[in-house]
Amino acid sequence: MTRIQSVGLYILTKYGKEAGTIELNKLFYLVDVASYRLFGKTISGTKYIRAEKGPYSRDISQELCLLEGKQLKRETKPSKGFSSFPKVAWSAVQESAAESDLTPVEQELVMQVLDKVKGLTPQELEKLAYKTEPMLHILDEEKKASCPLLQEPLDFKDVERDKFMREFMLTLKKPISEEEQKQIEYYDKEWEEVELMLQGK
Amino acid sequence: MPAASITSCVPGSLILIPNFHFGKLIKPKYCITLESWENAHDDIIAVLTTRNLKHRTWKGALFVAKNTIGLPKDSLIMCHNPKLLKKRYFAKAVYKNQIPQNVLDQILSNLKLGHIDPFLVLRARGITKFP
Repeated sequence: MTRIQSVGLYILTKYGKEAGTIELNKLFYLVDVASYRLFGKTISGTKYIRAEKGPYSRDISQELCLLEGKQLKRETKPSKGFSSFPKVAWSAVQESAAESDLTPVEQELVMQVLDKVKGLTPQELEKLAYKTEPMLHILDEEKKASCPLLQEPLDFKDVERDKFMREFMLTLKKPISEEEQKQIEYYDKEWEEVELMLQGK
Repeated sequence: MPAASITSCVPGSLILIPNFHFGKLIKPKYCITLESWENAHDDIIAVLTTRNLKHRTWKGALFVAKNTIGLPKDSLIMCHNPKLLKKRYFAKAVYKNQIPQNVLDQILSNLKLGHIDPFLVLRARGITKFP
């Protein structure tokens, strides 16, 4: 399963309702912006362009189509709005809700984003996407050029990074040092003593 | 390692234990035996412990929390096993939403021990800016 498929499946499983293609693109985008802000990289790894209705990635629909009929369901419904195009609604097949390829951190991030957008209409989601730095940047450029810059790629480098998280990730320790190893041994020994005391020995 | 006195329990001696991976520096059973842990783990974002053997008491923990990191007393919630308490072991759960962001960041920055799981930090801090 590709990253986009894993993220899409997780989002649709946890979203609790079906999502249209544009709505799903916004959810992907907001998750990726939040991830970039905190960790300096997107979760899905997809590239977004400036489309008529905000950020959009062609890969999302293409990749998710491959899961159609297995983990995902795609329905075509008549449009309720002014558009003459039928609406495509995505939803997760319930049996697929078991396990995800995403790490606990990624799952937590998706859940937090979904929690923030809970109850929002697709239009409100769109407004939210327009408030992100990459979209604000492109809107600024459009103003200067006095024309819409459709199909232009969105640059995530415009996203303002979370300073604390940036430092935290930089200083995150990986290998256990000799001194820490000694401390582990110390705690092990200490615990053994406690167990003996608890057993009344 | 000599047993330090309570006052020497600087913030660096506090250990933050991820809520399901558990820190590599502390044996899982060291804290997993906490009776209320299983039920409360969704809300708990951190467990505060001290290495001090001789003064590992609730009173001492409050002293450390209050005097070294300025954590308000009310933000600490006890989560203990009577057996461990009897033997003067303690652990404290710090509930999310009750810790001011700056205090939390201070705790996290001051940690010198432990391999903190980014999951825990994410859960503790949440998405700070959205969108």
